[in-house]
Amino acid sequence: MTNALLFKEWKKTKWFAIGAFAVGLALLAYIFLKLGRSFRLVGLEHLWDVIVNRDQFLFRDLKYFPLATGFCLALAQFVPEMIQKRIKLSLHLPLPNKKIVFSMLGFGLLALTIIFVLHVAIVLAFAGIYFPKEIISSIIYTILPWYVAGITAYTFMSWICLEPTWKRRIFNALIMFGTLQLCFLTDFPGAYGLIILAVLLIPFYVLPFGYFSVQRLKVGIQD
Amino acid sequence: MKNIKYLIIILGSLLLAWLLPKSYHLVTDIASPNIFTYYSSIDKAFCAIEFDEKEGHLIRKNIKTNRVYSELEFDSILPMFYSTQLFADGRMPKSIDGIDINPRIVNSKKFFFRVKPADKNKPHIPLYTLFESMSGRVRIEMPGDVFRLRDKIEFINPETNEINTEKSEKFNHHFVKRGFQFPAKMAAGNPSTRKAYDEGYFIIDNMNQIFHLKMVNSMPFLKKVPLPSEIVPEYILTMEPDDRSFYAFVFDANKKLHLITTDSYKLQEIPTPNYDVDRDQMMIMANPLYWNVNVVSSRGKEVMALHADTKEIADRTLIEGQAVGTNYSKYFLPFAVGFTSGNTKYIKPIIHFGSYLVLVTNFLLALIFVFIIRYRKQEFQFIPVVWIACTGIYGFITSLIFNR
Repeated sequence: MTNALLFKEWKKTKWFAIGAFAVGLALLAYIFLKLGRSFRLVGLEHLWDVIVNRDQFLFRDLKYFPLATGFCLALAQFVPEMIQKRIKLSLHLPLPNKKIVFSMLGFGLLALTIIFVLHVAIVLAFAGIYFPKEIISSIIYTILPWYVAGITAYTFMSWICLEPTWKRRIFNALIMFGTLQLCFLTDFPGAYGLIILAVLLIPFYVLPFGYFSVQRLKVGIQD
Repeated sequence: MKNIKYLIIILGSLLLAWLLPKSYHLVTDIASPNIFTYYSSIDKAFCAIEFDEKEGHLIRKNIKTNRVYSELEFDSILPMFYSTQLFADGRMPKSIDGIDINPRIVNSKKFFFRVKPADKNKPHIPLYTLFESMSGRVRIEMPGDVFRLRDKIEFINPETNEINTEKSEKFNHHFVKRGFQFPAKMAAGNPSTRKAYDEGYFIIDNMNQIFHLKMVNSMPFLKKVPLPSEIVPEYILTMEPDDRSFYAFVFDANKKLHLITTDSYKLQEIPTPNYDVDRDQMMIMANPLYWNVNVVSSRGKEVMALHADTKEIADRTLIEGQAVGTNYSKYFLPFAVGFTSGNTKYIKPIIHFGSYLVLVTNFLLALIFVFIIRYRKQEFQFIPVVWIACTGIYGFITSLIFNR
């Protein structure tokens, strides 16, 4: 039964997931071409100098890609469920509601994590060729909050979609915007170094919120 | 279910504790007046430029006598600060206090040195550029590599991202020979090609010893700075002044400031007002006669004039911080959460607590909440009431919205 549920999620999101990965690859190709041009024009010594001594960050174009991916995946997965309250059908499957909701969310998170891990791995593989470990570690500390924001955006957007009333959706959205801001407080490279573990916990904190809204739907709260 | 609801209420309250005070300050904050002060080598007193509320414009005055000067008079009272103007006008005295004054002396002895907490408290990539100090060229050129200091010194070629083994071993051998204890705690240098000469790096090793590292004719130069036992260096900033009289400023664990002079690396203590490198701002405005040491802290602006040669205190004064209006937020906002600060480039949570009087507001809000849930015909909820008593307006708003 769980496999059938996951297959349904895959049918809903496969084109979006493949599309997001492809767009991510295109974005990386653009960034690498741009950097390759800089390597040829000014040389790597100058680039290392501006990274180390002038706090420049070369992968800033990545900033909003994970956020957009997280938002869109949640919409692709949960908007069809909320049209005509189709999710009620899923909730009538012979499985505990908790398992149904967390299987759906788990599927989305897994898909998003795979896209993001591949994306980050390509960035780090490229950076590993041209930069030493000190700069790579700064890159990781800088981009990690952006990818966490993507996963957090997915969990929040799922919560908003699953919420049965519009009034509460607005409040949920306000909480989402406030929380997501935490991942974009500064552009200074490596600024999240001291609290990176706390940032990584944000999506896990938000994950159960979707189940709360489903329970509200189950008890009959609606507009 | 209830647990998830409480998770939402906690998150909402913390977000409000961050965003409400931020919005309050966005509306109410006004700039604190920054008064320019400089020690007059003519009046032998601090002079200032400040905004006169009554006159509605800037006034220039002697702080001690309160005498107000015109712009032209003020140039003459502060000849070292306005030296360029006075030399151009031909108004600069030939000598002051028996010291000959000419453009060469003034320019070589005049410098500005500024330290902000965020200069120290920021993420830093531990790679350093070591220039050739004796290239024979007028212009400093990039060396073609950078070095790292971990359990040894390693030079890396940026073009290939590979370690230059030969150079690394040559330098490493020198480090071991001189008794350098890896890993280094910090390395201070000025990795810019836009300077007249290069003095390399001053490095604090793992045993709190300071070493001076340079590259001279492609060979390593590493010298230990003799430190008195009571000085434990915490932070170093280097400078390459035109008169080559010193190498660096050393901030020690006792919050004292020292100068590493070019006279056999002798340390000279610089008297300063109370200064915390992690919280206060310092600016030294030096000239051939006096060093003006300014410290801006929560107390206000403390200024000290030191004799340039002996570093003895000539005069000092405190310009107290002016109250910038009553902060009413402390009566209804129990605490404020922040993540950014002018003292650091790092993102980290910072909490400021309001007045204890806010507990009255919290109690009233908890009471109102009890009435509201009775009006809504909901059962009494102990946890949200306690939460509101602790977090006040933040818990009250989120509990009202997310309680159902």
